[in-house]
Amino acid sequence: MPLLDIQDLHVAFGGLPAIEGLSFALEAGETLALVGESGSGKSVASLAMLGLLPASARVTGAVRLDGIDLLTLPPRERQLRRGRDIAMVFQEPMTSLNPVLSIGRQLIEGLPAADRETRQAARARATDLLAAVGITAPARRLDEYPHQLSGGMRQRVAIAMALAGRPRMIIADEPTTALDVTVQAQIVALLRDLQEATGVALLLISHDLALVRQMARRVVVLYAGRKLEEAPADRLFAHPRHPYSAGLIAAIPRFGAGRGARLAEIPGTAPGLNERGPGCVFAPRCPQAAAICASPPPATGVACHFAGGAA
Amino acid sequence: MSALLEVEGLVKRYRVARGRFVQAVSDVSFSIEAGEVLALVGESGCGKSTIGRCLVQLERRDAGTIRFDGMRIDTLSPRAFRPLRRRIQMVFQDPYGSLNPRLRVEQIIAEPLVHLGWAGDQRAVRARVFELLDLVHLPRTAAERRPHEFSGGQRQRIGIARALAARPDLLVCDEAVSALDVSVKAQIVNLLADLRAELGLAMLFISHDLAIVEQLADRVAVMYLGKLVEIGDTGQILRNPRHPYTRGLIAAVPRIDGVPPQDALLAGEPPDPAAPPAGCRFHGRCPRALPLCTAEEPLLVPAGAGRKAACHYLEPAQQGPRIALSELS
Amino acid sequence: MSRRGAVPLALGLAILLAMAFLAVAAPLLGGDRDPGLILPAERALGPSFARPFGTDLLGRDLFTRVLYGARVSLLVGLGVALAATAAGTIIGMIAGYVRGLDGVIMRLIDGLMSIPPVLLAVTLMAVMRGSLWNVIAAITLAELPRVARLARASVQTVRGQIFVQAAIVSGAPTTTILLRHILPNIAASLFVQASFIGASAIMLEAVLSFIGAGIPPTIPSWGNIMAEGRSLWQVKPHILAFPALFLCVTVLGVNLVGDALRDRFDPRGA
Repeated sequence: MPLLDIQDLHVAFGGLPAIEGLSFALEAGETLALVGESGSGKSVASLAMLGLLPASARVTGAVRLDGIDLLTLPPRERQLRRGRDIAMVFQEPMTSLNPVLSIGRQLIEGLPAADRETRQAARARATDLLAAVGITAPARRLDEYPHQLSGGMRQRVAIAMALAGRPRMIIADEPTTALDVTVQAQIVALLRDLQEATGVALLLISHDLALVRQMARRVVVLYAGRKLEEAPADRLFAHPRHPYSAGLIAAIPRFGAGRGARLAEIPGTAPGLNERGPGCVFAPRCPQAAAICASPPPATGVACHFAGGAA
Repeated sequence: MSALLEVEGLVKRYRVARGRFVQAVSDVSFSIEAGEVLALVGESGCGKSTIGRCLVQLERRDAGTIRFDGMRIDTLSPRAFRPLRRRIQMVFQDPYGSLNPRLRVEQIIAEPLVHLGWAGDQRAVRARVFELLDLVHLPRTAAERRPHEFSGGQRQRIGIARALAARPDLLVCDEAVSALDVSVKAQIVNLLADLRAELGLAMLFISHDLAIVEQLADRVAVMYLGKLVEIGDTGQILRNPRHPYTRGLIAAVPRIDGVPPQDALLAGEPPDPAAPPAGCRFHGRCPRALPLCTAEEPLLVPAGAGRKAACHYLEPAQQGPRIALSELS
Repeated sequence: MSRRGAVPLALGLAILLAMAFLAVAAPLLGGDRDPGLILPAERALGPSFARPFGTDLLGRDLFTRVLYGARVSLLVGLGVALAATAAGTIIGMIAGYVRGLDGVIMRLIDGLMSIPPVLLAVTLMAVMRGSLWNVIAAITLAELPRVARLARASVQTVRGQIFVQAAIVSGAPTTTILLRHILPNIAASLFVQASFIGASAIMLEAVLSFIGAGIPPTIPSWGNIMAEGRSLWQVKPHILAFPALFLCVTVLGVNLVGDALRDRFDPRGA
């Protein structure tokens, strides 16, 4: 049984669909990436999983954690399970840090009861966590406040806080987007190492294909609220089967391509919430679009009329 | 022959508290020829955007000279600078914030025309707006609409059309594609490349994305903590960086092909610009720092093939022995 | 898109429209009675069918007087809202955009603000002749600092926006930047503020008239009607009650409209 199993998730705001029929599963200990551009619904999906959408959102489908559908649980119990098993890392580390509390205090608050039996034990565990995320002089840092840290350090602390509760999975929503390139590379390396060491499952939500390439084993490609393709990362980057995935991968500027190399571009822009018909959502921008694309694409496998069979 | 833009010893300070200053740009010199694209790269806070803002007088420089077409412009009053604005325009990073939400696209694009003396009558302005919309591949019907009706990429096209309206000679692009989605980013990068070829524009392309810089720029200037650390031909710098920081930046570029970088990642983060380290500002993160680096600030000196670098112990050139400046003198 | 606050807005507008109608139609609704007509035989009568609000101590018809009083209140509310907003916006925009003048202007404004509005208005009225226009002028001066502060803060927020920088790069002169790029983007918050200023002005006028520092007693205003009923409020509460009720309802109406507009203009609420 997968750790997290999303089945036919639909989210709508005011009758307009933000996510339509999203299904995927995350196995224990694996890294899965949810990739999409702005408006693809990737962040809405993560909020829906956690039950953090505003009341105006209409959510249907199933979000099963260990086989139990979180969407049907009473809020209190959902919160309990979510808090125990799932942790989040956000784009902007200050969203998860309280500016007026010391780092040690915030870390200790996030520890499970077993880790805080004594003050010393709690501090020791917090120090270990900071050391684990690559913070030098961790014992001293415990008494510092978030504003005393650099952006990269804050993101490391946010990751330590995510790990504090010994979660089984971490949802990382654009964890490196707000950071400088040299620091991004450090955080990527850190997340990879931590995952190997702790066996926590990672759901990476990002628009950055290069980041996804470096971290994920499997990739789900989202576009305009729909899943277009799901594939192992190696396969996807070598042989994308959906024209959108192919276009997206081709559009990434490749370092080393040389001066004047022209980028492959996808013409047009993604459709808004009210411009999504029953047919293929990518058809208006697709180089291969034909008459058949006005009808719904295959519901299983790659969501493209022309991708069937050709593996 | 004089360059289109010549910047000499540029300094920009900000006051952070009573009597405490941050030197955001510290003694930076470079030049741009007519029709040339110079990329300014570095991490956030290195001062690259400040330089762009000084060029269009959104900031006043504290020391140094800026010459445009042989004329000194850093000392001009805002009024005296106005006629030159036509020739130096800017594209901003944020496609959402850079367009006044209450104006129609035509009014936005026509703004430089109206203010910078290009205006004929209403008809001529409108004709020019249509021409510009064609140039950036937006439908002419866009003229009547307002910014919120457009996606990020389309808005950036509007911003580019505005910058081009008065036919500038130099375009300052401040992270002009950083905020865009991948598929749209490619469109805008290609558009900028086309416009540059078509109109013979010179550009100061401020960016942290080396992959895009590689495709657009003739030359690259690398900045670290307010200082220029390396400048030269794009191909040479990116293939054979001679400053350890440039090397680290290149190693950090995420590889889509899955090929691991050749060099180790840089450790740490840039220090607080309000209290830059003594000696070489990079020594705290430099994998090769030696005692000399903490004591003496390296100068930007020729490093072969028309390029310059500021390091006591330059990375070896592709051919030839490693050169230590101390040995040369 | 949000219909949030539609009911309070409708209710507030309905109250204000009704008040405006009563004020305009006062000569008709008040019957043939002059608000100043004294009938000594009919002093301090309670409400009756013929005199719905009763009469005051001089035997003047209260219903007629309260309707005429609405004219004063609404004129003062509207007049002060317009005048204070216009003047405050100009001052605030200059302070917020021209760096060199900011310090001087804002210290003056702070000085003005340190005096409680009632005290300031009373003092001003003490040196001016009591007339409707002087009351509006005095209250405008008392309310001005609030508008100026808000305008200055809004200007400073908007001037940091990138589209303002883009306008500078496009060569736009200062007047264009202020009028075309900044003013339209701060107008919504100023408009909301104007409604609260209006409500506050109506209250302040009533206070001034109540303590005899406002409208001359020959013109009925809710404040001076209440002042006249003050001595007998324990035995003849209706003289005080009716103008007070109208005052409350009008201020409530203005505030409802102001709150609803604020919610509507607030981008975070949309």
